[in-house]
Amino acid sequence: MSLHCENIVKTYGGKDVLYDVTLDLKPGKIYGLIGRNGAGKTTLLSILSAQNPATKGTVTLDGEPVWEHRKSLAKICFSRELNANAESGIAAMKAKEYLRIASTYYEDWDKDLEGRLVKIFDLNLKKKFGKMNKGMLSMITIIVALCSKAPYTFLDEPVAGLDVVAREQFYKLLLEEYSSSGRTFVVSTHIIEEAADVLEKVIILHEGKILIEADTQTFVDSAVHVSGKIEEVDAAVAGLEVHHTETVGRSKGVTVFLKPGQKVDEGRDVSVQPVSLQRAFVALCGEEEAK
Amino acid sequence: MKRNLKFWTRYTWESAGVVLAAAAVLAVISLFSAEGLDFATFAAVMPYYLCIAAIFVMMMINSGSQTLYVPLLLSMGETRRNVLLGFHYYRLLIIAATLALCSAVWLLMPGEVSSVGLRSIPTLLCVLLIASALGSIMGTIFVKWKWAGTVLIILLCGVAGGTVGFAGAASDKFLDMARMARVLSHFETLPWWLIAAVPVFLALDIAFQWLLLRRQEVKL
Repeated sequence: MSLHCENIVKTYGGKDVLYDVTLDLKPGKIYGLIGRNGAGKTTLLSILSAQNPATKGTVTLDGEPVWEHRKSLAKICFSRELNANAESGIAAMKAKEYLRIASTYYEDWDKDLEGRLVKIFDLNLKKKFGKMNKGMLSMITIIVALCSKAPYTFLDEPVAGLDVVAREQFYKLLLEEYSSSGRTFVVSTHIIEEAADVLEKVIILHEGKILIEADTQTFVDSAVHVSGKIEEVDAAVAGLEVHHTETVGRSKGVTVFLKPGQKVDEGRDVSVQPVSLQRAFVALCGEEEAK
Repeated sequence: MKRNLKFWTRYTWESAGVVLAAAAVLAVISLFSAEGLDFATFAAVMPYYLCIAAIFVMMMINSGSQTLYVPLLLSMGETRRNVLLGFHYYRLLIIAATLALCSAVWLLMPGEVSSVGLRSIPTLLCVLLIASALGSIMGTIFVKWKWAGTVLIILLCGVAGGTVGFAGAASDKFLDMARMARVLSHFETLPWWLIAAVPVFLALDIAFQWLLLRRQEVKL
């Protein structure tokens, strides 16, 4: 079983927001979908869940199309970020009603888990969305995502507006649900460092294209930060894929992505340090600004 | 489909409450304006208020449903086809419930006005179907072109206000059995053009709505 999209193109007003995206989401994994603002993360998740139509390309689940296919759609939950200021009028809706509708539509809805999560997050379900803060709205989207029990569950910025304690709770609950159910989660987030330990796979989306789709650890291990005198660094990384160069006086620091079998020249007087997922991401996608 | 029916049936039930409340408001206004209260005539006229309330509620709620509930259901994994079918099921259910209630009142309150009412049901059905289709078209316009939808809603509110005023004035003048029966007897004849208009409006509505829905993007 896998959720597969092929050659997805999404165009708005003549501009490609997603360009030729091909992706295969395997069952039983936690994917991190990371990218800068406007990279196309929400659009991609919307297309994968048939909430938005693609301009070109196909999405299939176990070989069956997802678009207008109830059986496939029943296995996918994209718990969207709620915007109480939106013109849809959702601000006037009570959290209780929203969860009731969700429980009607998701056939494996876990009512007990819903009760438990409402207690953990200390939510007042009688409140209207318009009276809720950003963190509370995120909690509602988390409840829908976890209680839906959908084999493929997407969360868009689930920790936006949550305080550090609530964020910790979310990651704990996500891992708990993941280990007990073996569902596939795709988590789109900007708070990369916190999520890094949870994400098994990472998908980096940049300007509408997939730059990286890899095991998180393999990707992080492939990146190193090399610093030292300019000439020493240049010699040490010669022939390697260099990103994100920072020069201060006669010193230089670069992030290098090593291919299998490659390594930094150890004979040079340079410091070679591992990098975090966030630094590796910034090196890849923030390159132009750094220059 | 079962889930879809469950949702729209519950939604109809909630909307029915609004229809009854709107009919009650119209009734209260007409009662205050009436010089002498003839309970039998008043009860026999009530179903007409119910129909007027159903028309306004369908028109107003249709816009709201299409702005909020259609994208909401799509976001919860419902197919566009089922959303469209569910939405039409909801409207038919509202019309059926309204006419059933009207018939029940007229059967329980025999008299000249009630007899006219019972004979007017085919006309009322056509009027309700057309109003419902118009409301849905208005909702679709509201989703696609907010400004045009807003103008239409303002116009509708104007018509609603006018009707409330007319209800008050009419009750003052017509709330006696003979005059009321004479005025309402116009509904007894079902003109061919009204029958012909029903499929035209319904087809227009479905085509219009499907054109929007099939490529609609979910925004909540």
